[in-house]
Amino acid sequence: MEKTTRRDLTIILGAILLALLSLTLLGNLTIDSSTDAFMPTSSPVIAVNREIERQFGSMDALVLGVSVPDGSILNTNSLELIDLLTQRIALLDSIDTVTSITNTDHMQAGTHGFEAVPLFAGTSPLQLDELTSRLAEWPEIYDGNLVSADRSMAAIIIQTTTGTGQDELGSLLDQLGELVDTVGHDQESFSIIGLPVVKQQINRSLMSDMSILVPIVGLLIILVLFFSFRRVAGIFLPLVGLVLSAATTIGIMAVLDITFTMATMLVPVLLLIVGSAYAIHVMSHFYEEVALLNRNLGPSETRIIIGEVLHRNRLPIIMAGATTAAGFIAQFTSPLAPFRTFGLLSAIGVVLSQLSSLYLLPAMLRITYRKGIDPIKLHTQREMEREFKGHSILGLLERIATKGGIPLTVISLVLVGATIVSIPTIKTGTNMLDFFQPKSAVVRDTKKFNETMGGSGILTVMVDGKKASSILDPSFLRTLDIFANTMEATDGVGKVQTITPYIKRMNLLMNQDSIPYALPLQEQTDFDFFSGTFGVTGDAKPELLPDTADVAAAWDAGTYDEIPTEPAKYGLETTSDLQNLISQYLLLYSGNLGSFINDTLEPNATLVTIQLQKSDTTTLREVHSAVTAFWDANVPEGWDYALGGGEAISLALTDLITRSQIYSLAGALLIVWLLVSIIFRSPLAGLIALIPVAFALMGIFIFMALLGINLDVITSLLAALAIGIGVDYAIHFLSACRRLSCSTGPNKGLGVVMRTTGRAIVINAASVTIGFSGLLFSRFIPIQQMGILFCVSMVFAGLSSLTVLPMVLNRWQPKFLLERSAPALQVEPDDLPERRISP
Amino acid sequence: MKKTSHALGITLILILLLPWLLAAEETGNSIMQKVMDTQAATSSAMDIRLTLIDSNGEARERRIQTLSITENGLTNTITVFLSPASVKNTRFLTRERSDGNDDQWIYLPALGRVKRIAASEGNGSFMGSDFTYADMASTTYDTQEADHTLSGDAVLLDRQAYIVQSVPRIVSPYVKTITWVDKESFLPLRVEFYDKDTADPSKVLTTEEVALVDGRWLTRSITMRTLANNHSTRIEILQAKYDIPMNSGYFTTTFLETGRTQ
Repeated sequence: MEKTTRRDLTIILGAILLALLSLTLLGNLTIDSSTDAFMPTSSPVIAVNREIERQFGSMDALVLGVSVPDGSILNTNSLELIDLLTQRIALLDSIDTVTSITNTDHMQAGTHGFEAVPLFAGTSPLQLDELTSRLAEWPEIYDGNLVSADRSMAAIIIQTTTGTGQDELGSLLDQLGELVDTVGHDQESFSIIGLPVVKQQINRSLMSDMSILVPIVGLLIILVLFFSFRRVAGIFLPLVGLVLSAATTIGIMAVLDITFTMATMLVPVLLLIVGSAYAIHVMSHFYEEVALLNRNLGPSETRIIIGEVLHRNRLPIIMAGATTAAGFIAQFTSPLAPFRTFGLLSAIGVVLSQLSSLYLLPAMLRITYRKGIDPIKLHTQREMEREFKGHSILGLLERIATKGGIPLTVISLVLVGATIVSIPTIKTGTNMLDFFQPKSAVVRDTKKFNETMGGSGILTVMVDGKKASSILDPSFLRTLDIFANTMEATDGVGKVQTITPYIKRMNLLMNQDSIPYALPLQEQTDFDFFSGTFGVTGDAKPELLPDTADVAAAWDAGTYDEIPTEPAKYGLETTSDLQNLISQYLLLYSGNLGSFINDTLEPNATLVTIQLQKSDTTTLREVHSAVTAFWDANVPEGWDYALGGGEAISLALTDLITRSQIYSLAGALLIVWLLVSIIFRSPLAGLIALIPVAFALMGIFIFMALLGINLDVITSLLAALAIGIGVDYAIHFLSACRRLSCSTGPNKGLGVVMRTTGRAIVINAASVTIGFSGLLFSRFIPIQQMGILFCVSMVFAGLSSLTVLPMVLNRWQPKFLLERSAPALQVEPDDLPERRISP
Repeated sequence: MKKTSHALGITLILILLLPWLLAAEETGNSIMQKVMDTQAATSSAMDIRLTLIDSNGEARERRIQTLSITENGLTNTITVFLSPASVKNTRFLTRERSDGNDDQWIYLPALGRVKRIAASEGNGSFMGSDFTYADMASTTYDTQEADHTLSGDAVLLDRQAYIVQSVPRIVSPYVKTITWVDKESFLPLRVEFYDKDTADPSKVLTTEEVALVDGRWLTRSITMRTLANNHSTRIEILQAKYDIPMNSGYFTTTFLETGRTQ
């Protein structure tokens, strides 16, 4: 075996082994689809949420909604079903508490005091009536939380233990789904709501989406390769290289323990598409070279041709790769870690694709054509290419470029204007629910729950008074009550949960026999049993309390349905006495209010939960600013407050994404400009090369505005990528112009460039566009939208590089194109004379 | 002579085996009965400090004193809260009834009146601690309340201990508990509480200090840790008196309201 063949076989086997090894590591990949994965752990909102979770327990509640199509859920069958589910769910793993109308205690007035009775005692007609009247007695707590106001839906609220991981949550949701499927029911329907459900749905779909997208994109690339080369080797060889480099990139992810997120999942697909361009480049040049020669080529001649193709294409491929990688590397400026990881991985992937095109592909070509090649067999393709060269579209584009200066300028200005108008109208925000199709179960269930109950979006406010018992200050509690009422009147807010209804309720129950302003002040005796003789020297004559029921009937009990703020009304002297009274009420709740206060008796912090029925960015911003405005004006001096909850993360993420977009856009433009300026040794060349890039960006922004596409975790990756890929066209075009304009003059040279490089750009743009159109088959809306926008941007970049770019070059004839020292960046078949193959 | 030596031999073997035979006689039930007996008293007075420690190590203190008296097999208990300041002088009376429904009254000093409470607080947290009201009453079950199985023995805190698994027959927040019982004092050295049939307990009670006072074994300090949130509560018995004469007037609503026994 020859030395070269041995080396080629080593390269091929090495690449295959590397890819296989990478695939064996697939199982090590960790997946985190949640948008939490995007938030920097140092972000203030993450710190707030962590603190809230520490002080008030886990916030990611799951809700199982049970509803009936008509009538009331308060019927025997439905209640028995809810009771059964409540009990069965409590036995599942990772469950902290399960709350529903069937296991909640109701507090009501009792003989000389209060009693906590089961809200649901049974299903006899009398008990059902009792349940109905109890629910009506305390709507602040029950309505929209445990049961809908119209009584068509009841909720089973499932709180998981703090620190429950994604895997445990996944298995819990599976068990829950199984339970719901197997439990016997009649007319009731179920819906499982909550952020964990959405996260799990994305997680599950992420992998299956990948397994659909990769073959589809692969198939589309095969189609492009087929139409380009119409040969088995022409399809098979580039594909092998692409698959191997994509697989190796996944292996690198596994080795570096990089989490598979919504952003990084796109890397393998993007690499298939972007990498195909390099392979197509090498393959088409090889076939062109061979087709130019009208005789059978022996093994050594074939090897020489391969060597020459490589020699001429190495620099363009490296440069095109460098600019594409630059687009990816610009993601390093992002404040979002998954974007930086995405940038790094894609850049590595691009380098791998380049290496594959420059080493693996030639090795495979040499092995495939080790016995030589017969150009006759390539005639079909050659004829097709000749035909294509004279294609009227390219001629038309050339005419537009040379003669359509005014219309082109007008169109460009219109596009600039449209972009300026469009940008402010682009919506921002990453609502994970928007990832799903509107008809999907998770969206449908959440919508129904939001319409019927308090709302599934959660925004929390933690108010910290710093000192023990500060939260129990009556004037603060009254402010809290006003806050809840104000927020509940705000659009998009379904329900606001605070500690105040519990205090009001206990105040009412404990003062059933009180007469306002008439209570004598009690003398307080301090006790220390151990200081005496345990009362044995005294003569105890215990008496029971006199019956005070008659007193109770004398006044309106409703007067005590309040936060106690007037000491005199309660026979007390100071506000601090009232504070103690409230603390003593809390003692009676036996630590059940842990989700509202951070200490059972003397809390210094309280948590308010705002349930949102709408989670779009506009509503979120309005609610967020209403909350901020209220507390800025009302928070007592020395206290502070912070906003947390899933929706606060979502809002912070939106702001970070916008920032990330601006940074990575500026970064990508700067890097690409620098690179091109260096390559052509002219800053002007750098600027001119940005023309197709500018059009690609204008296309993206205009279509985002037109189609109402949000700038979110996925679509924000786009602009920097479009820059990296779009600039390739400019580089190819400028290189060709520089090389040809010297010998033939700009105008004539332009025609040649259009027919040669222009054709290559059309094929390149078409193949990348077709590849990206595969993203339309994703089940995630943002990925579909990314596919659309990428296609748009490639069409804009392609067209502008064949019209506006040549127009500018033709009109201004920049000096850098006339320099003789220009590197031979690209050689097109037409410009090659009949060559002799020298051994 | 041969017969005598034979009899001596048997006696010797019996003597040697006696501790083993005695030990072997212990069953889950007998051990737990001894645990209950050790802690039983006709009356008791305790001065208790509870220290609530959150996952960050921040501590909050509560102090209570309790008096209890057992007459005719029924126990009455009064608890007085000494701190924190906001609930100081709150008094809580429980009178056990033979039908199992305890009577409960509370006196809130800021309200100035006694209120009757009808609620099963068994599962509620006692003053925000890791102990439920039921745990405060007892961390082990009576022989009538659970099936106890002796599952082995171990050395804990340098002391020999039985390991008893208890599956409650009564309504309980726990599906089972595993108790390490000191072979000498019959005090629980460690109790694991399982609220589900899982491998890990939800709460673990550990005894930190035991003492022999006036011939009676006492637990001085115990800590209950909730594993899910790493929150714990330490209970220290600052003072304790058992089987002392006590005025039954303490266990009345009059005392609750007036702070006086007459």
